Amino acid sequence: MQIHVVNAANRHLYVAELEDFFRARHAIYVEEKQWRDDDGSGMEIDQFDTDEATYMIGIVDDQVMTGTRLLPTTEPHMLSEVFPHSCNFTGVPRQPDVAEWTRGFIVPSFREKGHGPIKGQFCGTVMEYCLNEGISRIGGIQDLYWLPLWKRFGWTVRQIGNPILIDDRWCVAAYFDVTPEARDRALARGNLDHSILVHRGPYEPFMQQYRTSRTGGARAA
Amino acid sequence: MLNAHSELLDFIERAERHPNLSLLVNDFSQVIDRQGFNAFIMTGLPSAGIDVEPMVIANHWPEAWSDRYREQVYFPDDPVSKWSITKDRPFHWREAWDAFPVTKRVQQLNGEAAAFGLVDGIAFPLRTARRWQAVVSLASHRRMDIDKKDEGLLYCAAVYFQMAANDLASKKAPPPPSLSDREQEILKWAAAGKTAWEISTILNISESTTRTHQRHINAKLDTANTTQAVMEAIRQHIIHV
Repeated sequence: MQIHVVNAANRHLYVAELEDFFRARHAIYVEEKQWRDDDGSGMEIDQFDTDEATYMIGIVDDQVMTGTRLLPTTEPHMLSEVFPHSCNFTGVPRQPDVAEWTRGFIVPSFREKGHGPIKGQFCGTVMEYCLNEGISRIGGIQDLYWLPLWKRFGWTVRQIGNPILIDDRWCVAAYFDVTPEARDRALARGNLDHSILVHRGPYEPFMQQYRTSRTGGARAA
Repeated sequence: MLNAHSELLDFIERAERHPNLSLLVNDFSQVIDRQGFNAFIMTGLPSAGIDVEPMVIANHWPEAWSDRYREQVYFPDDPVSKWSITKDRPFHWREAWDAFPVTKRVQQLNGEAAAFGLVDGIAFPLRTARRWQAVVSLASHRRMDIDKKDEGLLYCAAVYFQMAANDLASKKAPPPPSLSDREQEILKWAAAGKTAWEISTILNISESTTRTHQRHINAKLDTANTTQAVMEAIRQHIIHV
């Protein structure tokens, strides 16, 4: 697996992959989990899939295997717009170096039992990207039963609110510290000793303060 | 459930810092007691037909009830354990009772449980890292109406309790006892069906020396006889046959 970073600056190089990525999200979040209604498009795209989003797409043999989305918390994001009540301990974090991490998935045909190597490779590489970009914390709303996975990685988990029920599922808002140890421990769980993070084409930093003015027409959809 | 929030959150904070299982279990037991739960169990859940007993990690049921439950082999009939195996969300015991036909045996089980002070409860099925199913089940001696907010935090506390307990339980397993080369040799011959006399002949030592070795082996492996010692040594990968 190689994990590609895709954002507004280079998404023109990933038109087909992004389409597969949104189709995979549709299969998982609309068809399987039924978190959202089917709009008939076959792709799951929400109000946070904007130019501000950074995607990480894990690809094996031209197939999307894993994917996720990172959003700056200084912009509208899921916790600020949809679940602010889940952050009742600290309030909604809004800092340039804090990223919201949502829509992380492994497509069903690649799913593994328990805390297997794909999760380690993927989560470790997300940490790697965040370290490169100077992000200090990542997290968001998640099913409560994920908590043991982060603990398994040895990550520092900061729960920022009471668990809440979303469609009959217990969820909790939590952030993780971005550190080299967090990266290395997850990658080790994934049996990886080298980087699988790939960046192609024009580069745009995650933090807006480091971005140059947006190039027009970079966005495909 | 006054102060449930800060109490449970404090527990979540310190759960991973307990140096051993019994301190952790005592802490959890006190915390949930103040939330109105007087008893609990944390156990792995076996697939059908396998005994649940060895998978229990922390048992704070009344002892007499545990004995009764074991004697009566209630586990396969218990609606709460049946639901724990299949559910991936917290549930109130009442939900499980409603989900299965009320047989005579279930009536008997629930009646006896109530007599032991397990009137109502809530169960938190959990999937562990190795993906076996486990459950933390809390009991109350009276009917509980749990606020949803508190239920979420109890769930969190149960998740952290389970994580910490599993870590400590796996650390607790002592390293396999070390047997001397001669002791291993004797065990291997015993595993091949040889008697003490035969082994003494093969190894050119006296029969009483052989028996002394076998006594030492039993002491080290905490076994009653040579047959059991062979089984135990194979299980712990001390000898291979």
